[in-house]
Amino acid sequence: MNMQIPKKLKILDWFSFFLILFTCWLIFYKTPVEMNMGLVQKIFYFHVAYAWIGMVSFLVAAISAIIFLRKGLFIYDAVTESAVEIGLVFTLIAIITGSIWARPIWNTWWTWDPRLTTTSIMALIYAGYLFLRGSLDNPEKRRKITSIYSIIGCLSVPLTFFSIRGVRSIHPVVFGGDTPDFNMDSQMLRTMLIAIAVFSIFYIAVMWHRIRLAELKEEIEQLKLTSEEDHD
Amino acid sequence: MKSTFQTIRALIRKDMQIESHTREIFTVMLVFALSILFILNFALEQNVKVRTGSAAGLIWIILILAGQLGLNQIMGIEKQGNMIEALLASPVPRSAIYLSKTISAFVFMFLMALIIHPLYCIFYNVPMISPDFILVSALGCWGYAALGVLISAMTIQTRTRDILLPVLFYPLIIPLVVTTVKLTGSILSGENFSSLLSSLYQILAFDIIFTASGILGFELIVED
Repeated sequence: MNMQIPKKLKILDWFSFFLILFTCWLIFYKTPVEMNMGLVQKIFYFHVAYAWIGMVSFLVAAISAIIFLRKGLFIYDAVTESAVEIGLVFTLIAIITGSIWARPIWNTWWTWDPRLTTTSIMALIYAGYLFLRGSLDNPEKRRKITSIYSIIGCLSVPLTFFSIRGVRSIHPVVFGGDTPDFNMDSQMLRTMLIAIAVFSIFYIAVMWHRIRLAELKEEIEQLKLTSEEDHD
Repeated sequence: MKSTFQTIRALIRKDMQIESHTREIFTVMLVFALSILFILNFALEQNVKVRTGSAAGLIWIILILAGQLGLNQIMGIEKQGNMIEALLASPVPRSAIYLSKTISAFVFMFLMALIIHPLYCIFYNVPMISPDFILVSALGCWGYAALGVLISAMTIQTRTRDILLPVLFYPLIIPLVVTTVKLTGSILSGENFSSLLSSLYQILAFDIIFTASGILGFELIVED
């Protein structure tokens, strides 16, 4: 495998970098300050994008795990591993940014709201995935077992949400909701959608890098095995 | 089909015979559960309100923690002396191995639930015996065993097997625990059982999903 970063990926890196700068400029200079919440509401443009990418990433992980179990191709396992790792980072940032927003607005860092609880449990499940992956030595077993775990993890997330949905939620519904203090005007909504799109492009770039890393690691493992066999 | 049932029965009998000789699963679970029951006394002090109000949650916390010891051991006994390899080499359907292990784990958990619940009532002087608890316990214990055996089959193959099981298993079992605790709490507070049917169906749905995942996933996990 070529160690050099592909030209297309380099272009995507720079493209997403400038798009993020543009989005920050939009958020801080071009979008009006929310009337009730003030400046702290601006964190929502990042928070929603990160939470969205975190969830999509775990879904990508489960889908690629299913394909891996059917086809057995290494690349799908690499996608699952990458998606879980990156999804976990994005989810943790979403939890932290949400908490920073909640402190002045809800007057608490944390509340046992169904969405907050489900997201945190989701992060715990996929942190477990990384521990499981790290403690399995046999590569074949590692791929199969972690694929099954990521599918079960993805199944468990909606079940958790349903099991605690009876708890009264104070989390604002950004899209299609009727939360009285969270009606965004068209400019704010446009910025929110741009932020989600831009961070999704950034996610694709990071995923590409991480999958390349997994492929390089696999190649090193294979080379090690070959050299050990040659010595024997 | 008949031979599958016979295989499951034979495998369960094997597990029970090992347990009757070694007493490494149920007895250990029970002693551990009793220890937590006593520790709770010091944690809760004399607060009767907390003891009664949190009874459902506390009983299930005891069962979950003690049940984990059983799950570690139920697959662990197959690992000792590489019995698992002999089992996998035999012409036995993998789903039969999974179901036999799940039934064995369920029997240990359910028996413990039947012992711990009245003991909690006796030790903490809370009048909360209800026959409906038996049905809820059975469903809750089945879901716990169904998913627990699957995760245990994963973790016995890792370097850090006993440590990893709760880390992987507890976050996954949360939906079942939440619903079971809610339902147990409602039963203990004397709510009409017919009004709780939707929660009961929810536990049943979790049981079916976890069992189906186990039957489908177990073969892939244990095969070489």
